[in-house]
Amino acid sequence: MITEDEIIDIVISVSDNKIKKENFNSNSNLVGPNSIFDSLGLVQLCIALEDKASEIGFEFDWKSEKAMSTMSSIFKNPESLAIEFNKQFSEQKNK
Amino acid sequence: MIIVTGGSSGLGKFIAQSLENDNHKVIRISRRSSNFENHLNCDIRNYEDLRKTYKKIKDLGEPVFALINCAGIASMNLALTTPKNVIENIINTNLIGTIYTNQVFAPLIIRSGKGRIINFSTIAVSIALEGESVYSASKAGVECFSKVLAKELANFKITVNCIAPGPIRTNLIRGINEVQIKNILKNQIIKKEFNHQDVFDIVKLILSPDSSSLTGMVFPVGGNNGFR
Ligand SMILES: NC(=O)c1ccc[n+]([C@@H]2O[C@H](COP(=O)([O-])OP(=O)(O)OC[C@H]3O[C@@H](n4cnc5c(N)ncnc54)[C@H](OP(=O)(O)O)[C@@H]3O)[C@@H](O)[C@H]2O)c1
Repeated sequence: MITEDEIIDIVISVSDNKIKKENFNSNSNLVGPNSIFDSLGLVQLCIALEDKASEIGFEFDWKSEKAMSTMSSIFKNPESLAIEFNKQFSEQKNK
Repeated sequence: MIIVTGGSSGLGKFIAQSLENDNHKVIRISRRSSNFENHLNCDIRNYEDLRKTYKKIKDLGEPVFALINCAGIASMNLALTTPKNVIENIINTNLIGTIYTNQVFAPLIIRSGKGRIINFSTIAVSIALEGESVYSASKAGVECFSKVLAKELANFKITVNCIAPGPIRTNLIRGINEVQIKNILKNQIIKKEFNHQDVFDIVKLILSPDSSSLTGMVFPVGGNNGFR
C-alpha cells in the first residue's frame, strides 16, 4: 500500500527537489496544463512506483486499460494515483 | 545487456551471435523455442506475453543498454488480393508488435540511464515497392513511430533509429526470385547485394558511444534512391 504523502515524496525526489513540498499536495495536477511536472518526470514517477510495487510484492501496471479508462486519469493527482496503486495491490493480493 | 527480438533466425540471429562474440550479454526473443541459452519465448503480438517477458528480464537485475527489434514477417501480395488474415498478421506483428515491444521494454533502458533502440524498416518503404503494400505500410508506421519515440525518449539519453535493409538472404525473402532481387537492388545507391555482416556493421555504429547524437534516423543499407 502507498499513501498520498509517499507519492508526493516520490514526485519531489524525481523532480530533483525542483518541486517544493509547500507547493505540492495530494490534489496538485500531475499531468495537464496546470501540472508542474514534465513528461520526463511522469515516466520516472511511473518507474519509481513500479519499483515500490516490486518491493511489496506486486506488479503495478500504469498502462493497463482498466487504469487508463477510469473516469479521470489515474495521473490526475497524487490522490488518484494512490487510489489506483492500492487498488491494483489489493486486486493482486486477493487473487 | 541487449535484447534482440527475432533473435532465433535471420538478421536477429546473426546480430545476437555477433554481439555475444563482442562480449555483450544478449537476450533473444521469438515465438518458437530454440537451443540458445538466454532465449525467451514470446509472441510480440501479445501484450500480456510481452509484460511477462519484461518482468523476467527485469528480475535478472542487469542494466539493459539496447533493444534491437528484428522480429518481423513479410508476404508479397498485390494490395487488392492480400487476404484479410495476412493483412492483419503483418500489421499485428510488424507495426503493433513493434510498438508494444518498444513501449513495454523501453522502461528497462530508462532505468539504465541511457541506451539505444533499433527498429527494423525496409527499403520497400522508400521505393514504394510494388507487391509489398501492406508490408511497406507496416514498416512506414514503424519509421514514423520511431521518429516520434526518438523525441519522447531524448531526455532519457535514449536514441531511437531504424535500419532499412534491401534484400538480405534470410528466410524472410525465400519467396522472392532472383529477378525481383536484382530489380530491388537497382534502387539502392550502391547497387550491390549486402549481407548480414553489413547490417550488423550499422548496428555496431548505432550502439557505439560516438553515436549518441544520431537519433530519429533511418539508415538504409546501401543507400536508396527513394523519395526521402
Ligand atoms: N531479409 C531481408 O531482406 C529484409 C529486408 C528488409 C527488412 N527486413 C527486416 O528485418 C527484420 C529481420 O528479418 P529477417 O530477414 O531476419 O527475417 P527471418 O529470418 O524470417 O526472422 C524473423 C524473426 O522474427 C521472429 N518473429 C516473427 N514473428 C514474431 C512474433 N510474432 N513474435 C516474436 N518473434 C517473431 C521469428 O521467430 P519465430 O518465428 O520463432 O517467432 C524470427 O526469429 C524484419 O523486421 C524484416 O522485416 C529484412
